[in-house]
Amino acid sequence: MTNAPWEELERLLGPEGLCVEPAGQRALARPADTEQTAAAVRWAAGHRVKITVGAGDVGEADRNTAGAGQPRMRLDLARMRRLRFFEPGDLTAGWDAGATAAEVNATLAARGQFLPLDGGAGEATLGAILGAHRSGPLRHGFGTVRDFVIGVEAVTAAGGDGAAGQIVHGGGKVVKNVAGYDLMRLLIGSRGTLAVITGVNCKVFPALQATETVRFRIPDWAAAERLRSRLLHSPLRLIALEAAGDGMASGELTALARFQGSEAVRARYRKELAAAGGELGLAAEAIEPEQEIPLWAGWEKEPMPLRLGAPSGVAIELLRRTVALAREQGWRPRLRGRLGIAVFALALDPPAGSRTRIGNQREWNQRWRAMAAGVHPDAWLRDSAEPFAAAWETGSGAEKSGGWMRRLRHQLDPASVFVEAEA
Amino acid sequence: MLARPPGANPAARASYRLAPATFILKAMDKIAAIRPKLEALLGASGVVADRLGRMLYEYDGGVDRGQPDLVVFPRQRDHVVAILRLAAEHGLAIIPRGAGTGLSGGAVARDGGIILSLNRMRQILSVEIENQRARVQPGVVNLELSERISGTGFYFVPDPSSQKACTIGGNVAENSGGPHTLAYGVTVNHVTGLEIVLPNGQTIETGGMALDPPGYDLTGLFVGSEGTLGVVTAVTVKLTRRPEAVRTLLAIYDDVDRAAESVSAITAAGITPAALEMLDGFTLRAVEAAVNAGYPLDSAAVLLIEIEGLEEEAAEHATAVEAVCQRAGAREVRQAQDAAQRARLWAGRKQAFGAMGRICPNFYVMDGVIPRTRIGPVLRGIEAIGRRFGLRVGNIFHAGDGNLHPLVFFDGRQAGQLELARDASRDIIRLCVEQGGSITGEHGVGMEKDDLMPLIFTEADLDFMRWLRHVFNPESRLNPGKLLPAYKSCRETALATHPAGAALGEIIGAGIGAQN
Repeated sequence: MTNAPWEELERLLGPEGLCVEPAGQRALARPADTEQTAAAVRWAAGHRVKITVGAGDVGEADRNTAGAGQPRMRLDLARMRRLRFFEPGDLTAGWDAGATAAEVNATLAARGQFLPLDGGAGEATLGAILGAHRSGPLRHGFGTVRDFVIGVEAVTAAGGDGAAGQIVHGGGKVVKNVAGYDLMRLLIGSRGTLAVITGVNCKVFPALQATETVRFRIPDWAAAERLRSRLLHSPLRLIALEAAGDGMASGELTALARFQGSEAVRARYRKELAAAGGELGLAAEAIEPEQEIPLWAGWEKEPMPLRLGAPSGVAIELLRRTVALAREQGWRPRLRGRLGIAVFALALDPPAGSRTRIGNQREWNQRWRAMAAGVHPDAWLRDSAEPFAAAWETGSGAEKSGGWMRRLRHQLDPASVFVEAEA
Repeated sequence: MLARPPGANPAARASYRLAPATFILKAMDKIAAIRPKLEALLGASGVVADRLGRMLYEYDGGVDRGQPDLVVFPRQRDHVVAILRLAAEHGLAIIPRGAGTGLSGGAVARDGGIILSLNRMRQILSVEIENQRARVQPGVVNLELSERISGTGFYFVPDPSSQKACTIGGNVAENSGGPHTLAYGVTVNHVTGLEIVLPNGQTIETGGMALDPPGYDLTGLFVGSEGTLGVVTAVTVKLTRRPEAVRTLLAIYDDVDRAAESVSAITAAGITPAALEMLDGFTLRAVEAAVNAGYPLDSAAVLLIEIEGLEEEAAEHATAVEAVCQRAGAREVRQAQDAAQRARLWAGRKQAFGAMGRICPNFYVMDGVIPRTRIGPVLRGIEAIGRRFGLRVGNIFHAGDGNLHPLVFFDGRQAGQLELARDASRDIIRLCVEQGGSITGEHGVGMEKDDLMPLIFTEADLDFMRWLRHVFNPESRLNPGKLLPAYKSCRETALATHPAGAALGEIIGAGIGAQN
């Protein structure tokens, strides 16, 4: 592309807002506000420039090959990190989508409040968290952004070239609201393929009280299933129930149960968890107080490229078969995830010195999907190396509603301006 | 403004309005043509065509009316598929309906068409406790599901006041709430999958029993879409473990502002009750006369507060809430000592709307939302609006999440009273929006508030929503004239007069005295 169109965009964004690669095929745009974001999307639609939302460098290769050969622009909202409103008495707040989880929680902490954005999300922006529908261990007790985002502002490409770049809103600033379609739910997890999220309003929570964590060492899959079921039927209201494993040849796992409350309440949790462990022949070991916060702060920081989920009652069986399938390939599986609600992250490490995993991953994914269908038709796998659409075009969702997702995407972005962001 | 999707063009509706006689004749022809096909499909008992029978389906729980051309009762998904295909073939509108307990006219045939009554599809298809899921047909009554699994220790959380009658399909359409949504969320937080028949007759499935399936969250989009995107024929819901302990408190106030301040103070103390309801003096006196719930007749307001959790947590939080309420000016805080006392306190809240029929021929139930910190000023504003219109307004609402339900009382036998009540209600909604709130927290937009949507959404917002509707419902034949703004001149509204209609009674007078 010639320089002239980029110069036009630079006039819209200012010199701080645009960096173009010398070849003129790739650029990094950093709009200062929603209006500039809208102008950038309008400009991109008019000049057939693809947009990927997310932080990154100007020359960073895009994994997705859709629209290869067309000029690309990465839209980074790093300059948009303003607190829009904060009503501590109402437990509500709103930010620009470029604010990071750490910044958000620093603001809230000053008033004894917080958002459960954990699992290594500290430096991630709200926009990225929403786009990927990212969640961490506290999801067990507090839900995900789909449960506590109450309003969203976004820039859309709907209506085609001439209408792209409109600013739209869903929800509002109050904690209960059913007016109109739920744009929050639609855009969360859409990986930047339907619109650019520019503003996020949230219901926030009182800060965690004193917390404790009890660890169970689980020797095999059967014990893991017994513990999962035992805790499901208990009256405990844990704020996290995690499973972690490395290798897992026989199903050796660690389970972590986290809870909060006064000393009397925590004593009851300790008692109940010890009783559960006793019944099942599992040692329930309290994590030392000075280790507890660092343990959770470092949880899930390492990259885990696969995500999988299933109904909770079949989760352990699915994990058992997943591990067997990985070990058949000679790979060493590592697992972290939400044992209570059956959503897990998985990494498959090749044997030392081998680089075979990536080449065989797609085939393995297909084998996994065939295997999982025999466990439960709703079990799913998502690989961050695969295009966003792959999972719903090849997984069990394909015959259910995949075609309508494609149609929806086309309707809301007919010129295919948006290219998916990284997971 | 976005380019308008086809079917959203005002001119199209305008031309339709110019030739009503022709339109009606054409519609009658279509109905005459489709009726035998529907009777062949569903049997004679599955189709209501006579005027008297159709009159029963002219309204829901609100005040809006519209006469359907036919009412049909599918018993299985294949019936729904066939009905939608036939309706598409004949160019007729379909209006899905559950139990008809909605309060925004969502299930009313605004411009004629066929009401698709789903309340004969009422099977609980499966209950899987280990997966914490149940799969139900849309006509299953909300409370029936929890009753069916009562021995398991699990239940279905959403509890709208109408839960003894309303259907889970209706809850999905409206994204219904209820008192306990404060801690547990509304219907969308408890639905993980849907089976949906689209207007063209195609069946799709969204979500399922697992969380986070890949792709867009179509389940989240369809819940609360008020039957404008597709007809739900099966719902997969979450089942939640019942709490170990429940404490129910009644905080009694001589001043409404003190009650409102208590709501903010409880929130600020970091306590999230399972439910936090408020009744003003006028309303609680009316309720007490009908239900004998134990609310003190001389109080200006009460808060009904429920705390759940482990026994230790519930006890601690109940003590803390009691202290907060007393610091905020409560005259007295009572705690239910057993299940019977708890049920009695809740009976007053759950049966409140029915109790109102004893004191006034008609009332208009509004649904608006405000930030929780604005309850006091907004209640004073509502009182002022009532005075300006010469109408009594009672308040019974979900204070914990700022979801107001002002009851505007009027006598529909007097000309112009409904319009007056409607105007007063609209001013109340404007007040909610001015305070940073929303036009609906749980009743939905329906045909009641479609024209109020521009109060909170821009034209670009509304056009984006029209694009969304266009993806699934391109001809707008599914529940037309709902959720998104329509044209008021098309609207016909009549009034249901309460059979127990009477002049405003002594209770109202007592209420005015107490509040002042």
